[in-house]
Amino acid sequence: MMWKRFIVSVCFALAVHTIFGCMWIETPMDELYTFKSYNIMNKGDYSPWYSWYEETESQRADNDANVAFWHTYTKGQVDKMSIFKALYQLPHSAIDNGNNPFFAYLKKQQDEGALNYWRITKQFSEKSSDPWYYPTLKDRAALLETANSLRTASQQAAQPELRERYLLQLMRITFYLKEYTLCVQIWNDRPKTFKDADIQESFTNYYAGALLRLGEKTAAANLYGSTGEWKSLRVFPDDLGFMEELYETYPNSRAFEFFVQQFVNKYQDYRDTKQRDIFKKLANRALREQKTDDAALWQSALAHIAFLDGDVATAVATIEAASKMKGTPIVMENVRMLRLLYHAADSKAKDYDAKIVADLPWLIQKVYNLTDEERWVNCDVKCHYLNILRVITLKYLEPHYSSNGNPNMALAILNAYDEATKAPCDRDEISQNRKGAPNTYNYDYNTHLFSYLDTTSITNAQNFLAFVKSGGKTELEKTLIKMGYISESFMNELIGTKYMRISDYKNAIVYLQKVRPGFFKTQNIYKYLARNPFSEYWITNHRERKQYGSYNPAQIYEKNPSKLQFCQIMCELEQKIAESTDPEEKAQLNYAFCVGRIQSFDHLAWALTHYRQGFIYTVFDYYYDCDLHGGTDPWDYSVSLTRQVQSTYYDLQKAEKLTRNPELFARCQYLQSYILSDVSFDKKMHCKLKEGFSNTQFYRNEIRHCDRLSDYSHCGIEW
Amino acid sequence: MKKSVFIYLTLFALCLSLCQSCQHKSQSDGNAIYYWRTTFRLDDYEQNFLKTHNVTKMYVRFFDVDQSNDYDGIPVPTGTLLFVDSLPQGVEIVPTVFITPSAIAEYPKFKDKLFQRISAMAEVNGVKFNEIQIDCDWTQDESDAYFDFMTEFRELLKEKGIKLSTTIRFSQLAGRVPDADYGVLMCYNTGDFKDWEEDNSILDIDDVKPYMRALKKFKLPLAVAYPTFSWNLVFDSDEYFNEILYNKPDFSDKKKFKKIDDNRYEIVHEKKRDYDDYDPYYWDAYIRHEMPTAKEVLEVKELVEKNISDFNSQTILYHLDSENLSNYSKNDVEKIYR
Repeated sequence: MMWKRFIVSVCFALAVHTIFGCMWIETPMDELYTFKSYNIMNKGDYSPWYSWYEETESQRADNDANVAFWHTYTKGQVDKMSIFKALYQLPHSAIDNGNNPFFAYLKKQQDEGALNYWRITKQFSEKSSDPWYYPTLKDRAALLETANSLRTASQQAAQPELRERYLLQLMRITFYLKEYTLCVQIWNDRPKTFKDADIQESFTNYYAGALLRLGEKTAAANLYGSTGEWKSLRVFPDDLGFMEELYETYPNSRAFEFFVQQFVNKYQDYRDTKQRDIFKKLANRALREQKTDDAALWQSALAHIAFLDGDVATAVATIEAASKMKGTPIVMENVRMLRLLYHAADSKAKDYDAKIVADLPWLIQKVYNLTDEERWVNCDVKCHYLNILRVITLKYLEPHYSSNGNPNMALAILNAYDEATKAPCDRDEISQNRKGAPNTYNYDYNTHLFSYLDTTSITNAQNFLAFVKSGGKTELEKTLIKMGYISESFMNELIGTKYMRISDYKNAIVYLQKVRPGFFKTQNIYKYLARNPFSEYWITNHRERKQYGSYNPAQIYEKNPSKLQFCQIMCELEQKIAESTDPEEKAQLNYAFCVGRIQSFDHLAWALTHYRQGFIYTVFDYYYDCDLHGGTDPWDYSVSLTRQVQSTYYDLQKAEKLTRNPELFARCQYLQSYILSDVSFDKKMHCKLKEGFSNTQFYRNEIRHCDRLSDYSHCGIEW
Repeated sequence: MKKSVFIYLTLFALCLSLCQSCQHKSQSDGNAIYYWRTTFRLDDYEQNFLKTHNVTKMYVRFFDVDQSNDYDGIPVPTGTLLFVDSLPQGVEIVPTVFITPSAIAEYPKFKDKLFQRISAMAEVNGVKFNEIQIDCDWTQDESDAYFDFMTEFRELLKEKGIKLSTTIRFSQLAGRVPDADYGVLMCYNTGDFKDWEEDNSILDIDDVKPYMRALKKFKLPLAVAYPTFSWNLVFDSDEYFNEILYNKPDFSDKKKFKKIDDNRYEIVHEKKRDYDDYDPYYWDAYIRHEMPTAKEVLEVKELVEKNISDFNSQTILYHLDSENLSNYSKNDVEKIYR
């Protein structure tokens, strides 16, 4: 649009895809604005995750209504980019130098009217765009003269579009000179209808500005409301007195869409009950007198106030009534969203599902259909759909179904929500990833669905897979399943991993075997699977590593590093331990089992039981450091590490009891101290190692290389 | 003979001293005040104030100069004064411009434009001026730029027969003396308003005292400006400063405010809000109301004027605003002006 901003804002992807590892859901401030649904310029300071981009010049040239007008004016003989440059980039001097095809065309046509228009417009723009410029009396006289010539030109111009443009420039200059009374005169002399709606809108806004400065506040607000110039409505008094004043004169003003919303949002922040009661009186009056075509606006405001006051039943009844009233399209759309919100919050309603199904798929689809611009333009306009869906899903629906013993529905809703909130610009990449392309972002592991699945029980995950495969029974179930995305490999891999987390390798194998070949390559943990869980990396002396007996799990794993391979080795170890009659061999196998298990949880081979959040991994050093130091991944809260450490500790003690080999005993002691991470125990263990096993090859080799062990080598000295 | 020479010399010295005090007196024939809003509109109280207190000089903020992101960081005028009411008769107007420290460093880019803009504004709005005042809260980092600007700008004004004055903050007394006809010592904003522990950041004699040695040595004729304004500073529950409220809240409303000491209030939240769980530390929790009393102002006035080496006898109030000035009695204002 000609007179509107070129720059559009883009919310950084994280603002849209707010991902949290566990089910703790943060609701940022702006998302609590459940009433904020209109074309209001957002403050832009709610969240730091905004970035900006500018459209390319050719995009701007294509989308600009003013360029389109002049393109038509030249009968398509001048390309849009030349017109764009002429209109917005070239100085006044370019009009007569003949280099720009657009100005050259006007000259060739001897179109003095248009040329004159551009001379005046450019000259004025150049002066007025200098922030230091303050017209002197002489300048003002010259500008007034220009204004007069514009008035004459507007009367003489043959084409209505050109006439309107002259008029707009006249209004603009007059407004700039603060000759507000003259602005009123220009307004009064205007044509009844404008051919170009954008010109009319700008013309009206200048006039509204003049009225405002002449003290006619309500008239100005009404006009700003009519053009949707909400940014200017912000300058009006933010009080109910002004709303009442506006209502007296303009009960049907579109400006109420702004003021009512502003009031409700303020009430949400400050809960001023006195003000609330005054507002309710005004709203009821508006509803009673029926002087407005936007009754649904007032009614929905009353509903939302009831909702904010915690009276969900009244909110529901009031919003149902609003949905049957008259209202502008955007108000009616907001009514529908609010109705869904209140129904979602009304967790005790008997026909909960039936009420949800009326609006939830509609809203999910609406969010899914949002373009990148719509969802990111400074969180303006339709980004609200996304925000309100987020609140409805994460604050009400998911907790409702989870706490009512229906995790399948909770998961299905999260799944549909995740799919809808994925940005269109990412969808191609996601699709490729799902087909098998590796991706460091790991989209399907950065979702609310995954966070839930990752932390829920095995049974819940298994049930959900069955639920999805069944296609659902009720209408809501069916719709949600269709709106989501579930891959069987994803689920099987996840369930298999859950079994690995409880060391049930047999069952893990059952699920991991169902995962399609190549699936693991799509995960961003894939490269970490190459880390050998049977390597004793805490042993500094390389020669002392991998000192297994005849059965060497490290070597076997290396051949095909994968979760399945790991589980198979662990199963084999379990079997061999059970079958072995040689205590020495049994001890050796026990030790290998312990190494594999502990490493798959907390150390080098963490990727066997953990997932890695793509974005955080690449951005935040903290998480990266955890990886470097073999620490736990803080993203995953489901792993009962303590339990695994304890089991490993007892298994190592078993191995110690079985073996007569001091070398293995020393290793077992060393590993115990390593996994327990308890300073006092650590010291005791190392002293024991020094006192009892200083003659072992392991100890002698290791102490020469390991600083940590050296620290304990002087037992009796306080460490 | 010797005796009569001595008598003549004594009389001459007396006359000279009287003349000097006459000079001071002449400058204090009328009183002065700042006008620091973005729209020039005087209500009845303010118009009466000017007459009642014989205000003959008004330092009117024309605009600020600040770096603007809209103009690639170049210094531009902002907050230009809109003249709605006509200027009061018989009051000399001193166009005053506040320049931010970050903008002053770029002064070669706007020195001439600054004068042209002030002149244009004055011409269009019927202001005849023979003095311009520059207000800049420069720090050590910008001091060179500020002093250079003052020297060059004064030269420019001299050619046109216009005087240049500048504001001086207490912290600026220790440094060089700017090139100006005189300075206005700002006896306000003496403390750190962001510090919860401060009792009155607008004016505290204990904050002023340490600067008296520097004031004595400061070699520039000085007028003095005293505060007659108030504000309300809002802090969060961690006592971090959040914002300034210029309109005084109704502290008598016990549902909203709980008095915790002389000028400090706790904000009572009517209802626990949903989002308290999320960011409780960022919500407004306390308010400190600050308004220097006339007694406090007079104490500081006595101290300061005693220590100024070159006092030009001009007392200025900051600032013309009926809501704030009505907190002071006529008598108090007269005492401050005296």
